[in-house]
Amino acid sequence: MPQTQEQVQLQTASATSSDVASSASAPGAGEIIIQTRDLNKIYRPSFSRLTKTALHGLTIDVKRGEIFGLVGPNGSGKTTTLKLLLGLIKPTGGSVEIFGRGPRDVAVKSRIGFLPDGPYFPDHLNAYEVLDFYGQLFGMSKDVRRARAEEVLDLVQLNKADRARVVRTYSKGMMQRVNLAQALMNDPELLFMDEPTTGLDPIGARQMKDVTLRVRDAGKTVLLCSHLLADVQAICDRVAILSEGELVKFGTVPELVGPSQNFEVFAEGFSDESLSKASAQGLPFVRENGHVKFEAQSSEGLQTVLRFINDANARTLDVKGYSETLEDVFVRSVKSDGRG
Amino acid sequence: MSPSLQNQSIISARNYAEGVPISPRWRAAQFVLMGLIALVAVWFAIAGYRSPAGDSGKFDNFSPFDLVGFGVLAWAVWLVTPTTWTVAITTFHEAIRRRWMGALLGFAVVMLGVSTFFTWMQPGEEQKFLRDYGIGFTVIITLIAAIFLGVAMTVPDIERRTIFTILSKPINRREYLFGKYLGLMMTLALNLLVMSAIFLLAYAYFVISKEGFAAAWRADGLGVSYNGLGFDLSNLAKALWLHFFNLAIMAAVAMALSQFLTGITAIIIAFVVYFLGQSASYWERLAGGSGESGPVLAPAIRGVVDAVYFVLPRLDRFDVRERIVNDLPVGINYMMKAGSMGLVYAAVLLVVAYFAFSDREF
Repeated sequence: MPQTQEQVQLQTASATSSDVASSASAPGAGEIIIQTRDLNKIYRPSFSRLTKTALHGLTIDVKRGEIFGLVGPNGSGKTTTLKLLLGLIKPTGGSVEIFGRGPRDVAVKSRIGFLPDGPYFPDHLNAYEVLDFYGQLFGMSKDVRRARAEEVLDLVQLNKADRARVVRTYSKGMMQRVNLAQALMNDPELLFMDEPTTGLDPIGARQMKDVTLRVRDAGKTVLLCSHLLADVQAICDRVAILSEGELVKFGTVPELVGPSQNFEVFAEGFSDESLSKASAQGLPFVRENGHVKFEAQSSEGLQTVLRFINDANARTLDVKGYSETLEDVFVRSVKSDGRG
Repeated sequence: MSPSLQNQSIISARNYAEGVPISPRWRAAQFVLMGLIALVAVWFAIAGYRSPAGDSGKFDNFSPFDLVGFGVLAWAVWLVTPTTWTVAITTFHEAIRRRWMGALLGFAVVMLGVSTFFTWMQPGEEQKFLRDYGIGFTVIITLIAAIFLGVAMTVPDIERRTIFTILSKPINRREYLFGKYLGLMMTLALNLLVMSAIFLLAYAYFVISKEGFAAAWRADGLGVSYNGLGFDLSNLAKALWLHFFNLAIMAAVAMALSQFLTGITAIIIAFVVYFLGQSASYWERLAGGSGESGPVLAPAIRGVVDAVYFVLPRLDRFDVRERIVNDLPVGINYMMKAGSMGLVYAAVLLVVAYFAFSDREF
């Protein structure tokens, strides 16, 4: 399938952002380890002619040593992308390569870790036994498994007293720590994380963020799927925004957020007639606690708002400037895509 | 925080291109096991060839095709990698710790243990009643375990998303599925072993308490045990051993069905398959496969009957209760033929399950 203009532009953006992206100084940093080309996934339920396009023409590169964020509203194709990258589902079209191989290759799976969203573990096992089971799947010897389990449980900060309890007695937060521990068991080069802070309290979420940064600082690569855009903005080097199965924005966080400033102008003393004029001129405003709040997305917009207030003989109370967040970019991207 | 993330030593020594390596010791153990299977196959072939034809027609006569089951067994041994074994052991531990499994086994042990108290129901034929009751009860309980556990092998892992954490590790889908089946068979073997031991002990206790220890072993055609306790116990053990192949088939049926159907539907269909398989001789007569002239059927119905007869597992071959109750021996050729058929059938079902599972999307 030929690439669209948008995809080509996005790829160009990815190329220009590569230097900024990789903050790690690990050997091989910047090397592409995940590559998708025109990736498609169409679901066709059994006994039905109806189809659902979950992903359409996704082309992204993920480089060694970066934290790559995958964000999007529900049903945007994030989880489908993750499953395609892990070989849990097969693409309808296009290709996926991880470390230059297919995602189902056992050799690839030796080098990756996956933290899924809310899995259960064999509930008759305790944390050590769960990790021992996963360690065996990596072919680790008994001594290595034991040492490594202790190490990763320390890393995810699961209380020592809780480790010997069967996991069915665990809280959601404790389960999520075990989930992270199993994902780190093989010291993976590439870590996939799907909603890693689900079920964690603020302290747990903070620890999870710290661990993610440490993983990256150790030269590993992280692909993070999350709804928490503030976290994504804080820790991700590059971000892809998906909407209804298509890539709508892709780049480093500074590239996406941009240098532009947004302004909020608070004023009072408007007549109903002058506010009607504001609506007619296309100036966005809301009434708030007895005053009116205008929004402007640029310096020129700010000047227009201030001129309007002056012409309406109203009084300016306050002007606040603030930088755009990833959430603003996200909401704008999804809305401009006609899906918001 | 631990410095472990900086430490590559745990996995750096492994060759990524080959995935999880299989050690020479593992391979040597596999060869030893396969050699043992070959020796047993040779022994069975010689003993089967020399033994006289039995009394159940062609199914008691030796045929070289009966050795195919040993080939299937050797192939299964070759497929067991350390990863498969890990999945099998974990599955086994998980299965035996299920509460309903414990309750089922406990109930069966109690019912078999007290079986001698029920012999008043068939006065004069107490030992026949005991044999029928013991085998029948063991068959029902282990069959329920085989079908319910068989369906519950992959479905909960998928529903609870445990499968994501497993299949993202260096394991292929064949190893996962075969490991699950192996773990299931280990669980069923343990159940059957425990129940058989209790049943055989109860039977021996009953006979000895009636005749005294020395007389019980005499094959004098007198007393409670017509052919002697040794004959009875060995015949009963053969019947229970044959039932294990029955379980192997039904567990594979349940696992294969659960790849296509929802859990409850798979359970219902598996029970239907069992009852149809038990009445396979009836289908055989309808299809004219027994050599007798079957009933005259319309061509369309004949096609359906032939198809059912062709697909159905001959589960009645594993049920030798009639022989046991009537003090008839179960011959070596019969055991080999039935066992071989059971292994081949289970292998075919597992291959079907694998093809469905390998393409399955989660």
